Amino acid sequence: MSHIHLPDGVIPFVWWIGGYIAALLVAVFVLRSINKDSVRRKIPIAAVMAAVMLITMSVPLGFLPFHLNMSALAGILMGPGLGFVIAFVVNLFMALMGHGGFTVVGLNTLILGAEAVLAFLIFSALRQKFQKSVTSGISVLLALIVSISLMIAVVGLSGAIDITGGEAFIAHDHDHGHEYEEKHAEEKHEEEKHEEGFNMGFITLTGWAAFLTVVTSGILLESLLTALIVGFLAKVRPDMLEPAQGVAG
Amino acid sequence: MHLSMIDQLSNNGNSFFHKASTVAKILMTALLLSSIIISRDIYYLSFIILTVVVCFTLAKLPLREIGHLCLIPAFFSTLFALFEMQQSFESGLLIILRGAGSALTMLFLISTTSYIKIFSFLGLFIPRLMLDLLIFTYRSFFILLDRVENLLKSIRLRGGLKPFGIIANIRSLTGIVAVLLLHSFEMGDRMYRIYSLRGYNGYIPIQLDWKPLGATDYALVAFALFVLAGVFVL
Repeated sequence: MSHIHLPDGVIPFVWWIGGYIAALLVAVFVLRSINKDSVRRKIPIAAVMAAVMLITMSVPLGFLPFHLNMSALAGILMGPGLGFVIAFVVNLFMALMGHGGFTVVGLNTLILGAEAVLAFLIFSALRQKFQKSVTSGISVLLALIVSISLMIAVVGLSGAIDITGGEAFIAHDHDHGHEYEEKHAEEKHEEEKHEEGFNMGFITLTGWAAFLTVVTSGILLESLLTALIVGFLAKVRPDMLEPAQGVAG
Repeated sequence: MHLSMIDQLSNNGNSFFHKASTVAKILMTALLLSSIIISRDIYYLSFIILTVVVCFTLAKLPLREIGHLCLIPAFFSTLFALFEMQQSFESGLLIILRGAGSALTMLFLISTTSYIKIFSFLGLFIPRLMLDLLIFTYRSFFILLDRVENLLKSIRLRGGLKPFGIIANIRSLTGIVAVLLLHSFEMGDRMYRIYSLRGYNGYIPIQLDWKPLGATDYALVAFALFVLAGVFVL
């Protein structure tokens, strides 16, 4: 569910170009470092996994303002390498459909790819200790927490949104952003001077509290659904949950 | 997702946009996208969006049916625009226009150019296996979409989806996705066997049609260049 839903023109040029280059380099590394015969067999299966992700992504979850994306499940089922490549393909399709900016495909791939890789690693480490459904739930939960932190870090560090202040701004223009920061700092100083003890963090807290409530609901729901799906697969087709081999899985 | 409708429009359209070279259309899209991203003038940005809307009309595309797809990015842009509006109304509006404009431009490209042609162009930059993955995903999407519709229909008929039954709905949703995954993995295996029989060895041969650019192609690129130049002039 961690997915930068930013339109084009919000993330600075250097960041999205860097995101594209990094995502493509990882994908090329993954596809070159694997045994082509084993991967060739998995390409059609990886493709249907990507199609399933596309379908589930297009279904909104009623009153909750997000959708599932199942990258973590893709990582668990397909392995870390193919999980990453699937994330790239899905993001590219979504961008072509106008769902999300074309410029953020690289960054989104890095975030969703990290989710797939982490879920696989945690699932592999814990699979012998708990039931598979429980293990998958924990893996997805942890992977989502990390990937959402990554998403916030990318959006914040790129300057797209001021995540440290109470009011966020879109830094489509850096100079403009600095002007705003200066203005904001002056206003803050004035308010502090006149109203000592006023809790400037109130707006921040409200914003973050609302954000965290939505995100926590999303994380819990996706973890629960993945656990139930893996539980079902463990009963019906346990071979699908066998550990993936190599980089690609 | 309206992939099937867009697929039908891009393959069966008969306008000069549909007949134009893939390279020219992708170049035009890239230039228009750049203009939208770079432009900081609301009026000029509105003008660019208007030209894309005119292109939709000239290409005889159903703007009402496709255009609403750009409402999703416009909605997400609004969330960020609301923050920006604390600074000024104009900069907030700029964010919304950029989101809607870039989505509309991408939708115009895929409604006038078949996916296979776009993939063949992307094949110049991405690894072969990833290109295969794109093609297989595209093919699987339609097959799985049919299955999902059937699954949803049968679950509704059996009372599996209730307006306020969150737990029941979660259980049904899990069932749908799990069965879909089972079907999809079996389908993937079958697809591989069929393709292997037909000689698939990790390489689906598709090539970009490098036909020489015609007058229409040059006109499209020149128009997009003109729009981009306008961003710097204004």
